[in-house]
Amino acid sequence: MSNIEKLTEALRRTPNDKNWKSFSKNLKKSGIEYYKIIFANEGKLNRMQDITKSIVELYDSKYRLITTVPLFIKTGKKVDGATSYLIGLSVLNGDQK
Amino acid sequence: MIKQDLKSLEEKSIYIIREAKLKFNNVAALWSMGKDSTTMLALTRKAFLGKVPFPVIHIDNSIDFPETYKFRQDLAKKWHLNLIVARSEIKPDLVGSACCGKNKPETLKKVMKEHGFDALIVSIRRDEHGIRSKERYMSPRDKEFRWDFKNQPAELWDDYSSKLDTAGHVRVHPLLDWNEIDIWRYIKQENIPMNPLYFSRNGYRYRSLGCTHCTIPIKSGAKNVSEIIKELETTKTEERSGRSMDKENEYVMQRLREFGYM
Repeated sequence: MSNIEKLTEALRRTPNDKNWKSFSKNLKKSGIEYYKIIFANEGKLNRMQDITKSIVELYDSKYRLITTVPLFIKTGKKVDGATSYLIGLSVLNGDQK
Repeated sequence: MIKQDLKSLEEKSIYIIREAKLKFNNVAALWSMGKDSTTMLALTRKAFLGKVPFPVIHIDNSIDFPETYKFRQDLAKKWHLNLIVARSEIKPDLVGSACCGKNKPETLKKVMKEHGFDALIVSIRRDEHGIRSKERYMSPRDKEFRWDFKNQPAELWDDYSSKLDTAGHVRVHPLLDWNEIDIWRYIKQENIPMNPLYFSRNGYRYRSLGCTHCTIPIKSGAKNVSEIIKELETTKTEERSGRSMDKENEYVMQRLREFGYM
């Protein structure tokens, strides 16, 4: 299992600040360049599950999907968005197939 | 609308920003890292010899674009901004007008109260939306942030309404007369740093920036400021066509602004 896979697993299990920091530090090293946010419930965030079920797809420079991570960070009972941990990446718009 | 040259727009905006600084005790500016509020900061720097002499507030709901966070980080450092990041709690029922109508104004109320600001510079333009065209350069809000748009004082001969009759604050709008293309022409003229999301990649770009869940890109090949200006000279699409809350219904923006939306 590669380092980024381990970090992704940790993040999926426990999306806390510590795991997000470790993941964020390794983003560039793992060749990830682009992100795409996939909101649950077609972007109609009506319930907390719609936020916690939303994900971020991460791609390399050739638009190959590397991994997916949750969109949020959980601190105790508080839920925040985690997009600030993706600083340095670019949004992937359109079809790059 | 009478076409105005950039010089006269710049002069009027600088006059309004200086008036705000002079007339109020504790001024702050809202910064969303978009083209308008970044231009407002550039105008402020011009007005005060290269400095932004008041705090700059970002209402951060923690799901802004990563590029926006990076832009905030870089420009705040470069321009030595006194940046206040007001974290808006993430809640269900976030989408569109519920997010902008409840979460953001609540967070803004909190930060304004905490710091005791009596004036807030907001970079709205009249041409953005019908309801924004009803705004004044200086527009009072009550303590609940409510805007009584049916009862506003006239602003004759640059005599702006700066008196507070209530325990509220005054919204200052130095960019009211600008339109979208003026902003881009000024960005080009002054070489103002800009959020990279505005520029096309893979055939798409963002024309109006909000949070990730309520903003969608438009098809565009404009990769730099000159190409954006060229595109705007011929486009027939509305600027905020990529903003979901504007589509909810005709009066949603009126309701939002009445109850405190920026």
